[in-house]
Amino acid sequence: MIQAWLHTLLTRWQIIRLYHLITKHTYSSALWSTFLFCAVSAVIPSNKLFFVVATLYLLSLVLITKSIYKAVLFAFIPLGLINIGQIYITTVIPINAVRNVVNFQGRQLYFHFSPFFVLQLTSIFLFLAEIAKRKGKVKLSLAHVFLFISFFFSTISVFNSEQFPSYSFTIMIGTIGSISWLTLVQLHLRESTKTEKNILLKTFLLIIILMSSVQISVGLGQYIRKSTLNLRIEQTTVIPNFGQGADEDGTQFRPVGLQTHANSLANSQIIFLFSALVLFQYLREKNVHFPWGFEVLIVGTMIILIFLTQSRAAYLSLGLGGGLFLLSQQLLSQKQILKLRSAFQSKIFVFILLAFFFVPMISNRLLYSLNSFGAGGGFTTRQELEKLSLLLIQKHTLWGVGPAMFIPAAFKESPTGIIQYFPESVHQGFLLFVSEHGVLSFSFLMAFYVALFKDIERRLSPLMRTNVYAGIVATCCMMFFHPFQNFLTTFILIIWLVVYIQDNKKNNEKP
Amino acid sequence: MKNHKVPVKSITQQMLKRIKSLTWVDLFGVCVFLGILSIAFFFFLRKADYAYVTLRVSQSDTLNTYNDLAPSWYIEKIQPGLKETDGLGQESVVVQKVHRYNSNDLNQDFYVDLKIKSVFNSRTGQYSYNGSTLLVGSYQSFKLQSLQLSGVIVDVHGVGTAPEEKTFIVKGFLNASSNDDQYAVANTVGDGIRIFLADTLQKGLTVTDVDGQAVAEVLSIEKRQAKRQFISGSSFISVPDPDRQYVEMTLKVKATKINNVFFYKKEVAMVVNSSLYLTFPQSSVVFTITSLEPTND
Repeated sequence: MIQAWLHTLLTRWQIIRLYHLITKHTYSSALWSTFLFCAVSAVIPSNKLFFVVATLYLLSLVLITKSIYKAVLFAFIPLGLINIGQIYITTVIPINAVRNVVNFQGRQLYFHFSPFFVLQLTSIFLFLAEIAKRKGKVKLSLAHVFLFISFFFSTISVFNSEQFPSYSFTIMIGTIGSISWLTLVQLHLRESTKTEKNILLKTFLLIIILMSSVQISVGLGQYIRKSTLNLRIEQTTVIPNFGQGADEDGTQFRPVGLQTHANSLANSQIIFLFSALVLFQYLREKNVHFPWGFEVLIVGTMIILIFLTQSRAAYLSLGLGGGLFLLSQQLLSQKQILKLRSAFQSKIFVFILLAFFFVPMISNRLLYSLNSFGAGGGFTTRQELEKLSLLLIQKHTLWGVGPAMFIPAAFKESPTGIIQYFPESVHQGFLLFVSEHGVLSFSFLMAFYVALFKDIERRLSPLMRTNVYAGIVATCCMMFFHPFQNFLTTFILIIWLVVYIQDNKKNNEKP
Repeated sequence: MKNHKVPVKSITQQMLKRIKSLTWVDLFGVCVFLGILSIAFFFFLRKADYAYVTLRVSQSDTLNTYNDLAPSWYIEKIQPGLKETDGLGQESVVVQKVHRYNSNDLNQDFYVDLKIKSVFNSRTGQYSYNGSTLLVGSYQSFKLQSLQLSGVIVDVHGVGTAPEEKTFIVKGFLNASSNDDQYAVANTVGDGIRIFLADTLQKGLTVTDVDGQAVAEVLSIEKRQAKRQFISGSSFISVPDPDRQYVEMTLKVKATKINNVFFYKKEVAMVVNSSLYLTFPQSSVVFTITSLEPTND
């Protein structure tokens, strides 16, 4: 049916040409392998079998690319998003202390022992092997040094934690694995030829698009079905309660995609969106082009899913990020808007239909938001949690309460306070990071950002910089209203990767 | 056939060629990934096992019997076969049996036998479900289809040794103070129970457990007209009470040993002057023990 519908839009020849245009100069077998991995994972009947499938997937990437580094680069996003594995649950607030129907078994924290965690551990070992191979002569930037110091302090924070240090430690290991992965990829890409770099990054971008498309398909399916799809790759079988707060309308459905909450889905899509935009621009500057319609389709579907999540912070993030881009790149924006208008003039009915659908939905959501300032609304709840986090920062200034330990620490601090009714982390990523990791770790993380910004200013083109800053503003906006710590997301890692590999002038000159 | 063999051979050769082209770092990376998975398989990957648990349905975590009992309309919803399934449609929690004891008109002491898909830790001998260890005395909550089931675990079957059981021949009577709300009226005291209640009691009646096995059986019963006594001036007067009967019974009672003392339904100690709550099909009465002796049955 999809094939027939596609044929009404494009002829078979045009589809083949489009496929070749998109996958030209890529590891197309790696893309097919990723597609196959997603398809099998969606219907896999057991967790244990998933470990086998994930192993076969990684091995196939090693054989296709003939390199563990490239395999690790390509497998990171798919394994990270399809995070199936053994779940280890830690009950941090007992059942009889929680006055919240959602947490009917008490407040629990989950750790997934999954192929992704194994990949993160492998990245750490590979990084150590790389250092040994180079006899300790690894060229790192100032940003690396600041980030490693920040992580060192976070690790001290883990061992200093009074709550559940073993759980905190596993979370920290995962983050260290992600940084090891990035540093490995940076070192490898820096020494690759220009052509190889472009092939790798184009394939990586297509994998991001593929994974985002999987999430979009699942999210749209959930929205149509008004329920989860009961696929193995979904992280939950129950859509979280919506409409419990004063500022929410329970009659509206919010899809969760491959995440556990609609806000997390919006956050992950915003990260994918800006990651894709940065990589599109980077490759464009290296004369690697995608069809314009393909880029519009990918960006458009990502934005549609973000709208469907009904996350107010995501709307604001898109508005701020988009607004920054429009203001900084006025001429380019005008040109693109005119191009869009001429391309879609004949299909204006599609936009009218979309407006009929989205305008009432978004208006309703925003109208209910007026209740945020009432009792039980989002504003008052957030305010209470922020007060609690400030109290924790005052008491644990240097080392924090330990990574991922906000909820148990807040409960210990105030067992009959807001945490009893809303046992969640403070809905402000900055405060959450400081209260969990401590001021020392946060200071060096900020120093890392300053060093990264300096590199961005020095090495990236104005248009790339605008893309990067728009993305940072958008992800920070999400962090400002939700318990997301978007300091080291895929987006930031990609920016850093792009900045780091730009440095090597010698290899850039190679054909 | 030849046409088939040639490409297979070339694919194998291609694979071997690719494997041979890998450097020691690539092989190291693959070995690390597989090594971590193998270690995890032996040490971390858990085997799901079924735990068989008895839960006393309760609205709070109190261990006291007859406190915070669930109302009848709620326990009516809890039926054998009620279950929760995971994402793959496999049963994770199933209600196997239910057993109720009438505690009063509105609320009932209600026990549920659950089969729970959990993880067994052979080192600690504990089962855990969704991160909660299934401990006797712990308050647990489960979601079963459209129902939330909460209560205190009273038994985890298969953990520990089976309790010793013994049968007693018990003699006693139905104390008016526990069975008749008008046993003391206007300075008078009665020793009998209402006739309509006494009429429901006969030889052969049984109190059964969740499996339908008799835990108490009436071996013999004697009924005589009750008396009502009072003081008039300096005289103690005893007169027949035509509305009531004094009931004496001999019972065969099955009891379970807990801490060197035998308990009826694991709740009431089998000692003289204890009150056994007998829930017969048509009536419930409180029976006071006057003498007891163990039997070989």
